[in-house]
Amino acid sequence: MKKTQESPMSEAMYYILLTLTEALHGYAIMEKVKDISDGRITLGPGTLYGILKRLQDDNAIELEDADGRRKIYKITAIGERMLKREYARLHAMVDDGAARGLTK
Amino acid sequence: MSEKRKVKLILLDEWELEETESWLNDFAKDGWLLERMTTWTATFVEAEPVNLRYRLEIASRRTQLDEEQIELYEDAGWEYITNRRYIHVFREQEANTAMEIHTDAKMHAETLERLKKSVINRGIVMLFLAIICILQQFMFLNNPSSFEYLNDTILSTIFSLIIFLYLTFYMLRGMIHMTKLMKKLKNNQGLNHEKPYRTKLSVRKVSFVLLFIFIVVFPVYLLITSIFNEAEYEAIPDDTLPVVSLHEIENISLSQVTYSMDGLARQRENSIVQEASIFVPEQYQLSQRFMIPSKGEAYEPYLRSNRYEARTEGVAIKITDLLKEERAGEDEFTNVSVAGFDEVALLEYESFIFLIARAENMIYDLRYFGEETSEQILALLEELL
Repeated sequence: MKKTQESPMSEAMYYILLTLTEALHGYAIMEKVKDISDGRITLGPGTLYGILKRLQDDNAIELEDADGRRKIYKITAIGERMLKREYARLHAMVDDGAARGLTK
Repeated sequence: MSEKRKVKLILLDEWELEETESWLNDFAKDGWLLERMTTWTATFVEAEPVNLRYRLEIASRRTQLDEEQIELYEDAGWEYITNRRYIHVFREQEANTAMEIHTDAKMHAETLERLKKSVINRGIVMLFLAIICILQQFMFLNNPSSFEYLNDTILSTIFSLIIFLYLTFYMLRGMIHMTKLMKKLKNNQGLNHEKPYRTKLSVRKVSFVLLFIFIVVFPVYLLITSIFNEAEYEAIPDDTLPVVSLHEIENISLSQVTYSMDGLARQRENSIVQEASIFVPEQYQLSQRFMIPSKGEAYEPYLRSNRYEARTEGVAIKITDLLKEERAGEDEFTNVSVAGFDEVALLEYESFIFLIARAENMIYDLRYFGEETSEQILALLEELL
């Protein structure tokens, strides 16, 4: 029984997809996620590996031609759609909050 | 290179992931770093004491982990050490520098699915086997024969029951442990990598020793005692014996009888055997078979006369009942009263007499073939006390 990744996706997954708009290898993804989230999100290598495998199974990411021995991942069209859908959902959530008077 | 090494038995179970990590960590603190693991053993190399964390990872499909996964962990500050079947061991390269492997408890739980399945499958098979064996042994225990009391077979039954009960308990505990672990992770709590294990380890050691005794020492003991208990045939003296004897029943001196057989056959038919079992520590069996020329050529009476001293009166009562049941078959014993005895039961056929008598924890079990009467035998029995 394979779970297909529907929205909402986990925070970690969202950030991984976000970093993979450029081709990266595993450790670089970890670094980048930490970087773009301003250190808010840290990804353990085990968690990252699990999510990469799952995204690969869902065809949301794919392998680029290997650079030496390290595997390089990049987002696919499916992955981009997932990411945009999630972005829209999060955006809608923020807008709904703002409409009800929430501020930062 | 003369690095000091030591090999330790892994007494923790494969489902005790937290405890194993903590156990390995303590070795590092004591200056012993894990080098290699097998299903049963862990080899450590001596080093500077250092507080290095260990993490166990389960390979989800094959036995080996993906190379990519190992590289990723190494990039994050871990070192791949060894594996115990599909359980892989990582140690941080430098104290307190490696990134925690799992930052998402629910995803961590998914990686443990395989271990959980394996423990539960093994548990179910074990439980199924154990239940069959336990039922079988209970039926046996419920319905023992006198033979099982007089020889130690009843003990093997009890011991195999204990072993099966232990194994069942063991697998059940594994299943419960694994389920709790998964529940903890699914509730978004991480594992406790410093979980105390010492009590578990001591209990495990004791139960392993006990199991060893049950599985190895006990059968060896049975074997040895059965060798030493090998019956020896003693010649029968003419004077008074602790049981009713054939020459007393026939009222004749042994010097006046002749034998139809010679050699070992005669010895076997005319012997005293003393044996012991745990439930019946004193067992005395007299066998006699001879001819009495004065009573005619064809007359050859014989006798089996046993005396059993059971450990308790309760056991004696149980054995008496079993003996009656086994001897009587379709027929029934008649109770008679003899002074000094708690119960005396007789079963008479044309020239065959069964007698079973009990005084407290002492049982007399007699089978006689001949022309003399039960009155004669009962009179002799009364004299025994």
